[in-house]
Amino acid sequence: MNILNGSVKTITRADSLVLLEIVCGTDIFTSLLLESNESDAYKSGEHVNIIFKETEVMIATPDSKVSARNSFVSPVLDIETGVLLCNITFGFGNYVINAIVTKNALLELQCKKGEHFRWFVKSNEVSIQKI
Amino acid sequence: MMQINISKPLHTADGTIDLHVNKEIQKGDFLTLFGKSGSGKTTLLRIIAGLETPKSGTIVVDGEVWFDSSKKINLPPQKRNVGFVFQDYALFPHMSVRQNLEFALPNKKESKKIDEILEIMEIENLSDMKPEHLSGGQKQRVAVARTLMTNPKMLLLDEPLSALDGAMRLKLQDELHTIHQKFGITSILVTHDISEVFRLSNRVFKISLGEVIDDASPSEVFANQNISGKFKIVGEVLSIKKSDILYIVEVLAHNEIVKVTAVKSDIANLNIGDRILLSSKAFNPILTKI
Repeated sequence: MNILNGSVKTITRADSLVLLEIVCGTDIFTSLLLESNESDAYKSGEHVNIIFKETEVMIATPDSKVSARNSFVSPVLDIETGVLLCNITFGFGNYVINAIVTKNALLELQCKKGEHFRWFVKSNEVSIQKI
Repeated sequence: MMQINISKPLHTADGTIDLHVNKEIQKGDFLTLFGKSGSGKTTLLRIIAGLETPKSGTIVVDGEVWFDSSKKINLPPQKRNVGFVFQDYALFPHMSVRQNLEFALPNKKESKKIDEILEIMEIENLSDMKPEHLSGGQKQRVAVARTLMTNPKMLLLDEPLSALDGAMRLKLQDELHTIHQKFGITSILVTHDISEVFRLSNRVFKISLGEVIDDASPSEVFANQNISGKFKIVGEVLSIKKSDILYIVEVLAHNEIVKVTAVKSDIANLNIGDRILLSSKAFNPILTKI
């Protein structure tokens, strides 16, 4: 699991959908949530964990434009390869982000250790944990 | 509402501990007492029922004093109007199901009530049978039905489902939930099964060495579960297998086996048999009409 700590900046609602912007270091993460009860009521300034699975993180060449709101260019610290899949570790401020993608994708994009590469995750894949 | 403020020394495997509870339980609460064996859960239940006497304190239910050590008031169990359900059904073996219920009925003229409860518990067809011919689940249904004959204010459930197999447990959990809602009874349950806690109760007392160390909703008590996922299922880890660079964790949840992928750091502190919370966002599941 990728877990980052942040504080809620803005809360935008449309019926029961909620879009949270969360400040993490110098960056902003976005999470799309479905609000269902009072316990989900988030407050501006509240500290939360930003959580997303490694298998939900995609990668792209640094100059790519993507629709995902959480899209960052970071240094590739390490690449572990398996038979079908590979795990790419990015440095992101004080955190590391792990992305698990197919090995074929890695080879096609020519993503290499030591270079900068884009990683991204859609807002609706980002879970929020109250601390 | 019940206000309880009692203490009683308990002799346990950990030595003598002081069971001390000072709490208010709201009408309509479905409260679970959760804790290790010997922590005082069952004793607390028995104290509320009047089957054991605290050393000191008071128990007041809806303004009625059930127990007050300073005024030497101690209502006997039959005057407290609670229904007690044990793990071992405690039915009269020589009586039919109907006769067992009839025996518990305070006003014998209200025999319509027997038919009503038999119907609610879906045991009309068993009414002439003796307990020895019933399955465990059927016996426990009869035991619950019997407690309802007195219109109890409170249902006290001491591990009532722990002797039943998984499928029957789930069914009876649903029935207990329905009864709780339908009759608006305050229910207090002792169980070791976390999924049962989540399915039934709105409030949990976590009890350790006689003290209530946590008093909150199930998701607050069972740690770090204030996660935003809309699908939250409590399950038990059955197996962890490596698969390429991932790990596949098999989880038994609600009688079904669910497979979930994980990475090495996810499984670092995970062992077979561990209880876990599975959560997923509302956006992920795919709906297919069948």
